[in-house]
Amino acid sequence: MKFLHSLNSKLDTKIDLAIGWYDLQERAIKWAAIAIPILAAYIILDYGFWTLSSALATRGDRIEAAIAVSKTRESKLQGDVKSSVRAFGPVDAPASKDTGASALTGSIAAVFKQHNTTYGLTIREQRIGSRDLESAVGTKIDKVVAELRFEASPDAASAIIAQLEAAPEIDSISDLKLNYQPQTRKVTVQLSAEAWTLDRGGSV
Amino acid sequence: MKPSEPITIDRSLIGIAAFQRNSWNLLLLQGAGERARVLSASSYASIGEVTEALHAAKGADLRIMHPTSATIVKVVRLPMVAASQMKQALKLQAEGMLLGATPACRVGLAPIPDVLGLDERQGLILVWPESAAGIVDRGIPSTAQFIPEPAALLPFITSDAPALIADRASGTVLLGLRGDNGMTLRSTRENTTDDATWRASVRGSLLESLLNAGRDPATAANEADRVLADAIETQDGFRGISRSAISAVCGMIDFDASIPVDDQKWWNTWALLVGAAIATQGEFAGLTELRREEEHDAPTITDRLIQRYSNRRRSIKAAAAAVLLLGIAPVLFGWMRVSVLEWKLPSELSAFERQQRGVDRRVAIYKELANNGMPVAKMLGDLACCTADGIELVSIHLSKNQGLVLRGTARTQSDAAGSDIVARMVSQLRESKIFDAVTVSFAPPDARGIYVFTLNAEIEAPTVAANIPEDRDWAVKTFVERKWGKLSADETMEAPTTAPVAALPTNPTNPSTTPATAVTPAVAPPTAVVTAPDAPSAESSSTPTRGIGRRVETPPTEGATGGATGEPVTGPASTAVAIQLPAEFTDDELKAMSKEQARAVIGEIAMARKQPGLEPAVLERLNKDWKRLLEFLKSQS
Repeated sequence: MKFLHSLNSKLDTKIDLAIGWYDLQERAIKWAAIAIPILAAYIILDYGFWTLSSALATRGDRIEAAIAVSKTRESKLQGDVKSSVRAFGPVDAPASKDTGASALTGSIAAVFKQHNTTYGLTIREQRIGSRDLESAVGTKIDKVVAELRFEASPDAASAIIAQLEAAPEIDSISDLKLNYQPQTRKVTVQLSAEAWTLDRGGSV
Repeated sequence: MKPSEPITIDRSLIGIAAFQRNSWNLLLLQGAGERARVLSASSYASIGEVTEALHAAKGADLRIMHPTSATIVKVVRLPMVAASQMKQALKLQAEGMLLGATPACRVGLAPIPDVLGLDERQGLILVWPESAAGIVDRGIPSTAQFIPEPAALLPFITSDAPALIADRASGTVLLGLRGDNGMTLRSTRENTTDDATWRASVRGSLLESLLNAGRDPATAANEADRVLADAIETQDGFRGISRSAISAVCGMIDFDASIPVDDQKWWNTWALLVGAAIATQGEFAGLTELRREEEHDAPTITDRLIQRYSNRRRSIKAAAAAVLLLGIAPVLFGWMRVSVLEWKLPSELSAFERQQRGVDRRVAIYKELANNGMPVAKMLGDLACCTADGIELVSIHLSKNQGLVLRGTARTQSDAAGSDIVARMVSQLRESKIFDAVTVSFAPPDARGIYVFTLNAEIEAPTVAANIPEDRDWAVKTFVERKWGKLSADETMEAPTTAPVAALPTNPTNPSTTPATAVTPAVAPPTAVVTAPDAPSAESSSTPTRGIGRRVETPPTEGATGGATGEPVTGPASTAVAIQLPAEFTDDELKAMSKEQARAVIGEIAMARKQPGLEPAVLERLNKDWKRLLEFLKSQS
């Protein structure tokens, strides 16, 4: 408190000196003495404080927008999307074409190796052509389709299908044919496993 | 609501109050008419009671006696001019004396009527300095005016005898007398601790004043002694007012009949108040209207603000503070806002935004999957649940574009023909809400009554949870449970192959005898599949990440897949009243059994073991046969 009082007293002295000086000046200098501090104050405020304040406001707006979007996203989801989440489980965002294709074949190989089952594999590429998906991802989306054919016991076949579908590297199984072979007591399976990939290289 | 009565104020009524140690004396004066009239004189405990009494008498003009100790007394000489000019001259003298140090409200001015000569008169200036507190009481209304004691003494100053007020507490002595030089009014202070010395000092002051007024020394001494001898002791000191002066005052004012004017004691207390009352009415009225503060309208906030910041130093400080505030406040506010918002964020902003973009992409993927994908494992499970007993599926084709295409056979059951069973399946497919537009085509039944059929259906809502009743849901009730009811703990422990997939044998040589679900349970709920013994890896034995894992949520499957539930058997078979015990069989008889026969016997043993009150020996034999049958079935599969 004492310090503040002392500071205030010193400040008063300085102001009094300034006023005294001001009163002695000519009119032009008086105007300059008013204008220069105002201009200096404006420059300091505009380039210093207000720029910082504007940056903080922009950052605040970004955070607010991000929070608002994340808060309202679930309520805006359509029913079929929700049931799709339940039915398909977690999915990964599309990877690059090379990465996606190698992940797809690697994942297939791992599943079949686990079940000690041989399989036939044909790989082809196809364009998805979904504008919604492409606008969300920001680039065109292709799909690498693995045409699979194998024979296994009914339980092994169903396990393989389930594991293939559960693999995050496989986005969808679009076509499935099961044929029971009474002679061998096995099921012949043909399916198309898809991995969705980005048109241009690299992840988004 | 009763209208309030208008407030009536008698403006001619004046209340003059004086503080006397522990009480207040109030003299009510009616000032209207030719002569003023004293209406009452009474004492009150507080100034609040005084104001109440005044208000009760419909008076609003309150005057408070102001002590001499807080008053500067000055008698000045004035030129002999017109009355208005005289007042102006007096004012000029007062301003010259005070140099603007005291507000005008604290200065009382009045010309003294005595004429000193052809060209001179006297004027009296009474000043209440701001440094002097005077009578301090929180209850005194702000509108109250003050009458200095010297003004009240004026009516008692006659040519015959001086008037004297001596206050022992403050040491103040007020003297008033008339002489050759006109009126003398003198206020002095004698600060001595000793009472006798003080009295001597008072006498000295009085003597001095008398000599100054032109008395010869002997007369002055006699007069001083006389005044002091006749002085009346009061609470605060003593008062010297001659009887002739009181008589003269009685002629200046009227008294109410209730006031004991003839009583000298009454005058001891009320003389000064009567003098003040006379002063308010005559030429000395200007001396009786002192105020503590200037009377003015209450300033508005704007007035105060303008007044306050008219100071250049303060206005410069305020401007500098405003500039700082303009700079700092937005930054501070922005920083606080960002801090609060960042506190709400689960992670750093860029990471959160990246994560949100990832979520948006996933939502887009789910939308795409909802439109063009199908969860095949889930759909195979739903299909299994819709397949009626008695149907054997040979081929399944699931395609988003082509829908569902099934080929299979339907065998006549005890309760329904093959075509009816297919019709039941069609109905169940429709009820599931997964499939729609179901059509079926039959070939004529063969000699054994087996229908070969082809079923087509559109895939309506592949991702929707199927509407499957519990008794048809493989995830809730296994094939074994459907067939023989819930198994006890030891049965499930001994029968790891009772999982839906592994427990169901297929007969390649005789398809017609194969249970209708020989193929369909094989693609039944993925959980059942991945928990089967032939998929023992950690990945496959965990909960699947895709498809509808209903199997996990249903307690019965735990027992069926090898979990030791330990729950009592409560299946329908346990409620059977009379179940025949199956006969013992030899190893040869066992080898001769077909699978169907063995399964039938195992069912009988299961029912029999649930009967209450079985002898331990019988139970042991049944358990033993149960294990033999299981071993046999295992070896057959």
